[in-house]
Amino acid sequence: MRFLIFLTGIILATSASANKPVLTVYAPDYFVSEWGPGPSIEEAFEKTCECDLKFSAGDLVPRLILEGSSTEADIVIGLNTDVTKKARETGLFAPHQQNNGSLFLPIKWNDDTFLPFNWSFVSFVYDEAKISQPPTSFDDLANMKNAKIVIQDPRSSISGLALVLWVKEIYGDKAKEYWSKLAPNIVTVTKGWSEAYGLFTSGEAEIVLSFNTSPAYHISVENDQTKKAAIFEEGHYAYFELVGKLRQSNQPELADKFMQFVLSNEFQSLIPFTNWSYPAAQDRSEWPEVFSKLPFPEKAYFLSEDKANEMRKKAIEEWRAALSQ
Amino acid sequence: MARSTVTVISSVFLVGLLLGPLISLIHFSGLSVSLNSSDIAAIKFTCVQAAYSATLSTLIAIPVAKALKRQKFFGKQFVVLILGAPFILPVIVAVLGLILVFGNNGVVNNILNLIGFAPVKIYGFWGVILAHIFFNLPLAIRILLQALNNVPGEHYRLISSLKLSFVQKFFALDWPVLKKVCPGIWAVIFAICLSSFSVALTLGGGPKATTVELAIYQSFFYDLDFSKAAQLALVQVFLVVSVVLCSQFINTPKTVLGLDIKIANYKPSFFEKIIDALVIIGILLFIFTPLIMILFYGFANIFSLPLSVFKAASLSIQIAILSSFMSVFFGLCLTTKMGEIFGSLGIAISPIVMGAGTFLMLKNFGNPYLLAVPVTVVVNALVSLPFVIRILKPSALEIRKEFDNLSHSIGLTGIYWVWWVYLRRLKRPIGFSLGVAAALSMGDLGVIVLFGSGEITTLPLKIYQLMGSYRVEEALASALLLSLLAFGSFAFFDKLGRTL
Repeated sequence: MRFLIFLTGIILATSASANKPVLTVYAPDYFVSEWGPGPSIEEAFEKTCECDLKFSAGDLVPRLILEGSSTEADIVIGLNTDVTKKARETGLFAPHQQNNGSLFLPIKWNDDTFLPFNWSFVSFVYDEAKISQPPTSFDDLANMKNAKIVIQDPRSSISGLALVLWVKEIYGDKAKEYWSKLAPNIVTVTKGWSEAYGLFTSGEAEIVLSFNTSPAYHISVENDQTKKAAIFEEGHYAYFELVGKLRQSNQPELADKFMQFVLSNEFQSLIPFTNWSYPAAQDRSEWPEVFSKLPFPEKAYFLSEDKANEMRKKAIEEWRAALSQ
Repeated sequence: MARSTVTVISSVFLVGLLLGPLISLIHFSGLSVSLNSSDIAAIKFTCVQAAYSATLSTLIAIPVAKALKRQKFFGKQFVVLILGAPFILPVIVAVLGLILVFGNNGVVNNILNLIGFAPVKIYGFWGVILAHIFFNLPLAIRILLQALNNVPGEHYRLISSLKLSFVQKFFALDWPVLKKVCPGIWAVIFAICLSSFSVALTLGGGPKATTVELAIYQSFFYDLDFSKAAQLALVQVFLVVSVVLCSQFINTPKTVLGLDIKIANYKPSFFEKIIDALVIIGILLFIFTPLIMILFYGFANIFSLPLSVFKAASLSIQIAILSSFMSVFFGLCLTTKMGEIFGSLGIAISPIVMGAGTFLMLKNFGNPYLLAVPVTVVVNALVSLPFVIRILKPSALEIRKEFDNLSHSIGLTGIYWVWWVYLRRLKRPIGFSLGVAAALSMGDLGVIVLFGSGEITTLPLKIYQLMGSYRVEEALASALLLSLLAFGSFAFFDKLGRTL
């Protein structure tokens, strides 16, 4: 019975808001959850847009491919540079029509389809209580005695893939050799970021592959200063999260308004403490103190989607071969 | 006649529900036909680990089930009940529990360190097997115990009066039962382990432990090569169906029903008592310690969880109840060899492919997100079905064999037979299978969420959200809540089946 009430509730809720135009935004699950940026973004945007912003959680690109041109999405938020090639090839996206010049990123942004809204550096995060001398380079990391590192699988995780590309870009032909050298320090490989980070916080590993902004969470929520990102002298792989507008959106004006909103100060200020990363359209001086004080790598690596796509297969195969021994 | 019609209709319906999504995905994307060397390696690893896991789980279950059958001790009912827990724990939680016990920083290594021994390393091939035994051994024990309990008390009386040796007793009393249920148990555990992914990878310590399911995930979400995903899904179906088919060819011996005499005048020997005590203590340590670690870590935060977690829990309960009844209804219609084969498809089909295919099918009928709840109910029911059928089938077959002639002679047929004979005599396995199905559904993420959860959030999804936003402690607390709920519903139905 309660189930029936619940069902009718859903149906009524959907029809009740029918008088306002609806902007449908596809986003990953962590983005939409009550601990992610979704709810506060929805609230802020609805104050100005005279509309109903509806998030729909799920995996983005596979879903767009399954739905094809019949998709109900107006906006897709939470893409990353490793899937943009395939996303672009669907032909479903329209130019974002925002000024790339208003972005503050460690690299120059030229893409006029996908717009970054936040970013961070892929980094190894360690527990200061257990690691007294943090590694300052990839070589350091491999030479550590008895260090326990947990990483993500590049075949099932975006951060895992970023690491493999990062290593490949630095070591080139010697990437496989490097992986063999690092292998004894790797405790295990997990399916995704969550599993790895869980192993790190429960004490199973002392170093985890994550982002240089992760310590901001521990500092501001848990008042824990012991989690730090190791800064490598070679430079770090920059990780961007992107938003795109759908070509056949039936709310094109609202969609444009949302794209403008993404770059607004209001949206950008919501990012650091909900998505734990740097806002893309704010200068470092505008970031919250916790973020601007985090150690900052000197050099950023970024691979164009074509180059990343070219390298990916080989880089993963080398990783797999070296770690399977 | 009527009975086989029921089986045929439900089998056709079931195969449609299960293969429909796979077929619609193939229709959408085509089917890749080439397998590269890493696919072959993944298939090989998947089969080898599944075979090891299934064999060891089944073998270890035999002495445990026998010990539990023979011995009477205080708290036995509770032990039998709690043995079901690992099977119904959400994967992400159980892995953490295992690592807290067997990991680098776990209980075992801390004790070894204290007494000056070298640490053991869980990560590797045997880590995968350990985890799979942890998950599946309880299921094997419960099904075996159920079967041993069906041995009439008269047999035990007869055997004790014959003064047989240990070995003779085994062949006279246990062998017929084992021969009847073990192939089915082996096949179902093999099938579950085939679709392992996250557990195998994490405890396997790296890409050596690559399974077919990981390859499906990769083709689907990263290479966006759906035709490849469909092909690998077909490989899984082929493996499961062939194993289940083989298990059907093993002849099942005739069994005889007694007069339902419950009191067995069977006195275990001293030797048996010692062995049984060791077996029971060992198994309890193995199963309990990880559970206690989860309890220990999750308990502190369970009362401060946000309301949304409890709302998600309430939705999960509703889905679990509906899907468990649906699963058992299907199961009751399919307690035949054919049913067992078709029912197994529920674990043979990769959840990713099932989700994608269901999504494609529903797309033609409107917004799939509005149907997220009913779809989750149906899919969860189908996923539990292979277990439900295995629990119900042995007793159902016996009832057919033993009561058919009698029922016919007094004209007790059709719906009256179902009510007065079939359901009444099956109430214990029905309760047990309702419990298993409800608990499994509770812990299941639900396939549809991969492609968009719409407005629904189940408890497992909340746990993933918490894990994905740094809140590991709250995730553990929610996981404890989920485990308690899953276990509670299991205990409730199981108890109902015993007392009604």
